[in-house]
Amino acid sequence: MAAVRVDKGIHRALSLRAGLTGLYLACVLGLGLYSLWPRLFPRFTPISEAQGLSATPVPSSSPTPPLAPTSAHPVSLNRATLEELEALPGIGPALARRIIEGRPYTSVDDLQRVRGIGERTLQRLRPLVTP
Amino acid sequence: MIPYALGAGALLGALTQESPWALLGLLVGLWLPERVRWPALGAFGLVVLRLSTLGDPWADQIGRGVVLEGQLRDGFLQTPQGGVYVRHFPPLEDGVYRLQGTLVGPQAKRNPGGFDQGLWLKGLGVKAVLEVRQVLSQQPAPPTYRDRYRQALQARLSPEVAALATALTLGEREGLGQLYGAFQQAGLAHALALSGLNVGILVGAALLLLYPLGPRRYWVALPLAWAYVLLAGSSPSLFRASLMATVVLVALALGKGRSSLISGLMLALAVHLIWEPYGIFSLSFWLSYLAVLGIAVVLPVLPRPKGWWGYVGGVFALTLCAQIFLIPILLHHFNQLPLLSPIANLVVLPFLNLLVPLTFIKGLWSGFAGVLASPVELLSQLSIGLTRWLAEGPQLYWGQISPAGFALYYLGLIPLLLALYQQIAWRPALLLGSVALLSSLLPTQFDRAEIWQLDVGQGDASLIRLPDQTAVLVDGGRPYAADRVVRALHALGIRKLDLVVATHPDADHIAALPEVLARVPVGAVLAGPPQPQNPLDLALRGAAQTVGTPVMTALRGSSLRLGEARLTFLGPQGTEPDDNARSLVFVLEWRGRRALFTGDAPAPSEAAWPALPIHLLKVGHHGSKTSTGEGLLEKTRPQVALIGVGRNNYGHPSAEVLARLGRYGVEVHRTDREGAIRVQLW
Repeated sequence: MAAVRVDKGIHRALSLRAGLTGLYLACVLGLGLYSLWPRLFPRFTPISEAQGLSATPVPSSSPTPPLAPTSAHPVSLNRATLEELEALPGIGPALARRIIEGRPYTSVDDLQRVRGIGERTLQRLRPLVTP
Repeated sequence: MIPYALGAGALLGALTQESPWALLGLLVGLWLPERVRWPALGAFGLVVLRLSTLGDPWADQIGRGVVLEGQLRDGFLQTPQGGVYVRHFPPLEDGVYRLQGTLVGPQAKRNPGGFDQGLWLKGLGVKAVLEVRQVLSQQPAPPTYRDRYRQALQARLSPEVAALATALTLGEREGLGQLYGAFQQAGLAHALALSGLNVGILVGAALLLLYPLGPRRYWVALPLAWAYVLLAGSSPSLFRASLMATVVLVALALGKGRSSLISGLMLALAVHLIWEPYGIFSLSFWLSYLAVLGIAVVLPVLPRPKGWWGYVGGVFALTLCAQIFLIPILLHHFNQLPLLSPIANLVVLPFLNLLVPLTFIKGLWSGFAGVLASPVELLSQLSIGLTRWLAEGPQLYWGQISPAGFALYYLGLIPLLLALYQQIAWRPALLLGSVALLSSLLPTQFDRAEIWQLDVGQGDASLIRLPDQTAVLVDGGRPYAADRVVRALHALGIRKLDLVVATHPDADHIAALPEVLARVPVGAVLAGPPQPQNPLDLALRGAAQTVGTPVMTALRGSSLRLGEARLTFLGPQGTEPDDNARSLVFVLEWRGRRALFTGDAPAPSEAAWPALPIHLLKVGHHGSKTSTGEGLLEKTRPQVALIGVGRNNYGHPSAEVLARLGRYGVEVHRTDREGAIRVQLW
């Protein structure tokens, strides 16, 4: 009799423990899922690359994007170093050297004298440089 | 068991302020075993009763003009009707005032990491803010004992040491300035909150001196603790410490022996909440109670080596135990946790422990001032020097934590605590704990790009955040907004920006950026063509040069890849005569989702952009009628629109634009209405 009662006691303790462990795991995983939930369902339908951005030719003044570091101030055509000139969009080492050789400049428009700088490059450089 | 029942009952009673569901606690209470049923229900009932006496004295006057009269202290005006927080620029000196102004409700939090005035005042039991229009009369307050005390305390000390001494004894931290930040970064800020440190040292010293009185000395020491509360003013931590000291002293006086820390804490919790039920909204309330709870629960079961190492280990263990329940709260609110704090507590705390009684005695009588000035000066300089040095130590940085994150942290601790108490074996405990850890990491595996339109008042500041931790800030608002932006970045767990886009040099867009650049590491700045005549543009480029951040120029056709995302610039051409028209305009594309950022670009510029469908539109020029034309909406068809706008005289956002957005079925969010807005780009 006694052995059976002890057995029952152990059994009850074990099932209580299993129940608590189950409750714990349910709580923990539930919380994880609760935070995950809003990330699972997309709100916007994705647009394929073909629509818009890449398909629409941007009527840009230059084929290469004019993304280049500039110093804190506009670059001075008459005083800038070779490196500063090379940092300008669309200006390579050769053009930079020719710009230096073409000094002095009285206005930005004088840049057109430099071989290799056309109307379009000039338009792009205009806001970035001073004489 | 009774202290636990009292504490739990009171806590549940206080929680009825937050949600009426806490009233269900009554049902649980009735089901409790008889021995603890009535204490628990009694504490619950007392808190609810106290709450009913605390009504809102200002409820029917919110939004009205009023004239209030009373004593102003630390920004709070005490009137016969009740307390009110006073807003006036510059802040008013303490004194007796007659003030005319408007009563308003407290401001809720506007931005991630922003100051939550509403919650702060709620935790102090203050329900309204007086926006002062006119000071009708002003008299200096009659000097109190506190003022005389402060004078004697500060006499013959150098300014910084005087500020530290005032903070340590009276809890006035305003004078510390940047030194307080150093204490925070060294993990020593808790020493500057009046608490058990002060009360314990004071009561302990009194008991030593009163030893000849025998058991009666406990009754004599009791009023001392409360006299200190009267002197320094009640803060949650000091109130808690004095309540716990009372429990200990009364138990000793009645010959019940030393009460356990945890039952003292629970009794203090019950009395505290019956007296100030609004304490549950106060951050310092929770910091104070949870720190002691950690010490009470974890410290007794930790192994403790003997000898000198025992002392070092003891200080380390104490620091860790005090922090174990605080870690998520500290990270959530302060976004950093000093990793050296155990060492700082080991090295600096002994000096501060010596300083507390010295400064306390120094303030009591000006005759002491001369004698004690030099030791206080020496000890303080030493502590300050060490603190400054330790503040340079490594920090654990973290963003704000979601409620689920908090729950998972505490759930994860439970099996470990049970293992410490030998209720379960270590192996299953670690297993269960790691399930909680993994569960908290689960959502991070599904991070999505998100866009925040921050509330910077009238102005624009947008933040792009990609799952690979790339962060881009687009504009920052006026100069005063810089602090909000930096706090928001820290609260979102962003410690460095990969890119800052300055759309165009207008004050409400880029004036905050120089300070942001100075305070947050930035990979690169993207701006329009340089404007040598524009002081704001020069200031931005100067600030970038100072910190060595390159400034790049973007024009129409520029494009930039940032991890999985691409920024494609639709404008400007760079030759437009007008500042707004030269705004950098770009499309952010991430996994096929697109957001268009427009700066202040006007309708004629919009006409030049290509027709492309987008999901999210940052509305141009704060919703001005000069932007967001019919044509733009027709060719882009956004689903969600964000408007960065605050109180202004320009009429932003215009009814015309709002109506137009409505016609196209766009979901509109405004920062002036909602504060910061978050949109998951998914």
